[in-house]
Amino acid sequence: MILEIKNVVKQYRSKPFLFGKPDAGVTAVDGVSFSIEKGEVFGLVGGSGSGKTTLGRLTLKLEDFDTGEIRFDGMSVRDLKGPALKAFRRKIQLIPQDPYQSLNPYFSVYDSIAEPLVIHGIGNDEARGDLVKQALEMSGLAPAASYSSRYPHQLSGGQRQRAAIARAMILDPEFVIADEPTSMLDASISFSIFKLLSKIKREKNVAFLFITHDLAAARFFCDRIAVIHKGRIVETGPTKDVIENPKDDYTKTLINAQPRFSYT
Amino acid sequence: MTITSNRHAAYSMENVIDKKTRRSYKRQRFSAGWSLFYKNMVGKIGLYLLILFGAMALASYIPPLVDPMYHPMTGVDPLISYASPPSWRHWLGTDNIGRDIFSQLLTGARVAFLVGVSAAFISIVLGTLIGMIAGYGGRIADSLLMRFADMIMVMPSLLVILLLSVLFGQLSIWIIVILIALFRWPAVARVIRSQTLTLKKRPFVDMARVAGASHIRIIFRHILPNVLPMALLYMTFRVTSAIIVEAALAFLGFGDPNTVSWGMMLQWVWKTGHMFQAPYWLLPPGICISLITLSFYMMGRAMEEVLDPRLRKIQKADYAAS
Amino acid sequence: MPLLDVDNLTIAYHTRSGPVTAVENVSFRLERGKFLGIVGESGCGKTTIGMSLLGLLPENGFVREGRILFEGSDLLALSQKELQAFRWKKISMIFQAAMNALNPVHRVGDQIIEAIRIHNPEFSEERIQKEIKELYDLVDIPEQRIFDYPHQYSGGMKQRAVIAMALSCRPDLVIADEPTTALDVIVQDQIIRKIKDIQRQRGIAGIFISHDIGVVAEACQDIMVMYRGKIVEQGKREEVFVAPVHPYTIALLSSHLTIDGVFDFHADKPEVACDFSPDFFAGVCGYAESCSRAEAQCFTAPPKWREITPTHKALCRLCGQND
Repeated sequence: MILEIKNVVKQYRSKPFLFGKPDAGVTAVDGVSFSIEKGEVFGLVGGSGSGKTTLGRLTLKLEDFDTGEIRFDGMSVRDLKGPALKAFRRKIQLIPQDPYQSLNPYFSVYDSIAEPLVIHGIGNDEARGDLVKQALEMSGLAPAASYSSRYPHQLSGGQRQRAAIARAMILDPEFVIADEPTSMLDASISFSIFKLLSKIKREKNVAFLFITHDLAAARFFCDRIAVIHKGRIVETGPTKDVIENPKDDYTKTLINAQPRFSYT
Repeated sequence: MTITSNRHAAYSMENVIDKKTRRSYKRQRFSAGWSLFYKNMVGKIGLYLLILFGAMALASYIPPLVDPMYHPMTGVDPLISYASPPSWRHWLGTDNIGRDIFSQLLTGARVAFLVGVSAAFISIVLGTLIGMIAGYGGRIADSLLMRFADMIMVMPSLLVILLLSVLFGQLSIWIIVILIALFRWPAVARVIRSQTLTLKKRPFVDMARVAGASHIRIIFRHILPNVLPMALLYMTFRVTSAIIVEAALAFLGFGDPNTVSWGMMLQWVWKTGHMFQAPYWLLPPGICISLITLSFYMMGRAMEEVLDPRLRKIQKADYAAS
Repeated sequence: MPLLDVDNLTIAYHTRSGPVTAVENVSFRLERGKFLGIVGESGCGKTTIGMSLLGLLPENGFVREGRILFEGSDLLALSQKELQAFRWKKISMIFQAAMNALNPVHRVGDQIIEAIRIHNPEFSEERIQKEIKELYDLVDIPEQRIFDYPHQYSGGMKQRAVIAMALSCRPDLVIADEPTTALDVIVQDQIIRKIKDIQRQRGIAGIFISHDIGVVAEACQDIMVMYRGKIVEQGKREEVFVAPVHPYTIALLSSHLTIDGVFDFHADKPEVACDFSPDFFAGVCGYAESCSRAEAQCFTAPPKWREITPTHKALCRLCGQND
């Protein structure tokens, strides 16, 4: 088991400084529990405002949660500090939602992808160059030399997302959180991104937490899925079972809302 | 063995390409911005004026070389000991003890640049640093720094500097520069803070955190380049206000008595009672102060238009198509 | 006479590097009460078509060639002023970023009333009140919410309010540009159902522009597939989505994920190619380079329209040859 989430609760409330009272707040994640095995692709499916993105941010320790426990590789994520936190950051990576915003506009593709190596002090310049080249080619940005010197605004949406994937994969993480990686892309490009992710999963045996609102994408990519609604998980199971035999009412609504080629 | 060395060769070549393209990209971006700036009439006038003042500042070294009597501070015409109107000997006339007004005016340009640019630079560095820390740091750092900034912002800076100079006697020009800078950073800090707040929420900052970047790295590698254009823009506006404050101080008699600035010249006119008798003495420094502040301001406005696409009029159509 | 008859429309944009063609030789007809779906990837020119129908092209956009006939009158010949009277009353639009189409400082109801009043100055106060109640009824927003501010609405309600606004002057034609893109699947489903209901109740015609095949397939009877400014295949929904012939349409459909796992249509599925060649306007088929079936002549001669059925045609010299 690589990730274990137990009863996690996250509330947002405005905490005033010095004066005023905190308000009632919004519960974004309300007692969520699930676990992900090594090399497994786990889908978290839900509508906007369901708390699925927040859960991803909590797992990455981009935000702190209120109660509950998140264990990654046996370590409690909440207590990570200093060198342990840095080691954690090497093992878990994020593929972001918006490829137009996730690369620093002042960084060339090479600098963006090499940055994690620089931060973790891996290799010298030459070794980094090799790794970046491999990562670019693995992500389908070949020949690497023609992409590495470009800036984000010189790339198309799909190319940017491939660069973001190269950056996420360069540290050889054990676990990747993909937060709606294709919601901003055209259908055929998102299909090729899914194919790329499937290839990475196969070749590197990486576990994924795939956050999406799109059941069809989850069906294509995930081994198991959990349906999340208003901060709670309403149904979990193997993807096929959940989609073909939904038990929960919300899951049923979600499935019925998918566009169908019904021609009526 | 050969294979690895080949690979390294390939990579180092890539790296060279990388640096070269980057340089050319930067040049490209600069020239795009420059052409926008140059299309702007206001910016162009500001720039020409500024070049004129720059030439004046450089030329200020020449008169004392021609004849010691043209030294702006100590040079006195041996034949003239009263305020004299323009002549061939003194293009803009002399002051009441026979010093050349034209060479004083040139030196004043140098001092204005010195005061304006250095005070603006210090306040921009301070403002950018404090703004980034307030915006990036947590709620407490933000509240403390911004309340501090508010306190300084509401202080009547001129009055405080006047009080200080009454307390400590005459202030040197460098102390004045530093005082101006210390009073002028809060406005910059506010702007940079609000920019940092939005940048902090941009996904690439999250991505840097996920990659394990330290806060220092995020602030200086990721946020700083993104706020730098705005900081430079504000610098031009700060230059304007620094020059005005220095001139006001000098005019009120609290300037550095060992420096010839335009404000100082105005003070001499007033103190010696030549206010309405010697327009050739009064007008040049007055006009110069107005024009130099105006030119920095106009440059700033044009730069603002380059940096903020929403302010552009002509180029809108191009963006819609792309 | 069809409601809308677009003939050989070519639209270009002036840019710093000369004019760039965005839409080329587009022709289609739309009957009253029908919905036409325009599908294509971003940058294929579908939004430009929508904008040109309303006379709302950006400053640097211009129609180079072609006619747009609406009820027999040429829209391109109208002056800006005549167009303004035409817009909203005859043709209205549901914009891409509908959330931002509402002014946050005015009540939603007032904004809709404003739209009605401007275009129907002869309406009495009671008449306007009656109209707006009817509209809210039509889009399923409770009457007591009429005078709320936009921020008090949820995303789906805002979208429905924007639809109400587009319908406020009883137009004959509504152009919906990605009306559900930013919405949840469930809300999206509601909106599509609502649009279909309204189509049935009021008998209006519509053009539905979207990159999402699923959405278009649900809402529209006629389909137009666009690639790089050109129509590559058009026909009835059953024809284009069940028996596609153009290789691009086939590639597009096979990259579309559905909840049932695979998309079911009757054609040999070629390998999906997504990196398209940039010189589509060079005369030869721009898709040839990415096309898995391309033959030598595809690279040398321009593609031709092939008729598969009287209503179904494709811009490809290879299509329909087997029949």
